[in-house]
Amino acid sequence: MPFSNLIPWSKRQLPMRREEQHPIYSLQNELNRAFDEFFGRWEEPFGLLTPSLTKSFGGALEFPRIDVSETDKELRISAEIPGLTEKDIQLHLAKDALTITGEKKEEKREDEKGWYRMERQYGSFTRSIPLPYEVDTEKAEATFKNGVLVVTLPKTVAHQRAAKSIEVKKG
Amino acid sequence: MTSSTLERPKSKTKEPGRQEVWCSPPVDVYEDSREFVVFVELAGVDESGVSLQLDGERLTIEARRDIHAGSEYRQLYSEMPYTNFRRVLAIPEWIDRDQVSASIKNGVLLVRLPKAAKAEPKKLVIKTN
Repeated sequence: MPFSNLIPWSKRQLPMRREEQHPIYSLQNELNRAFDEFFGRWEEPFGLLTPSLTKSFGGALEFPRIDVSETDKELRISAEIPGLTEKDIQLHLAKDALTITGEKKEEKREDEKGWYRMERQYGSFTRSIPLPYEVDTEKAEATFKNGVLVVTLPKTVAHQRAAKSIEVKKG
Repeated sequence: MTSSTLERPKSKTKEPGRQEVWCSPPVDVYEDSREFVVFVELAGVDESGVSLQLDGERLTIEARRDIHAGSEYRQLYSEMPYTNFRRVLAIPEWIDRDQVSASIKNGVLLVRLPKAAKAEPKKLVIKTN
């Protein structure tokens, strides 16, 4: 005899109401719908594709988002930091990591009557990016343009020399 | 998820041979006594890369950026692969369409939608007899 048959209050016997069907939730849903009528109606036709992309990135990853690429001679790290200026960003380069620190401030609005959407995130941030190999810290360069930071880190001469292709032989 | 949701939206500006990854950028929208203000985060986009269209009660924001390392670079890791942004917002009908303005600075687009004059609240005076 399955254990659940022995408990009189098991879900099988008690007609459970799904949360959304509860009056208070349906009221909430009504309110959300009314809210979406304004600035929210007609979400993009490709809504399922694009928001899920941002959501999976925004939810799982640290701020700022980064790209890392390399050539034989240098390592390139870029980061998305919209809304800041070069003065708001501090960079610290150690032997094995690059650290980006800053604060994204919300502008003060004197006369605001209400907010319809607040999807942007504010506050201080710090992110350390481990470097895959040693770089020449003296020759590091950084630029900031249109909310994108690009840091160029030349590889050390020793590292460039050490790089080598390995032939794959038939086993 | 059905297979149709996996299809990439078609773009009029698509260049052959270039992979396009789309992003729905985060927005802030607030209202004050004179206007509605929309902020859109578009990192890497300048004024030449953004297009705005006001169509009925719909504001369509589309943007492109070219920030990625050249072909001489090998990609090691990527969290920001998208090249295109698109967002459609429903806007109230009582705005002054001719006065809508937009500017972009440090990768943040700012759109101002001034309220039409007739939308100004009027104070009603209640007279007593």
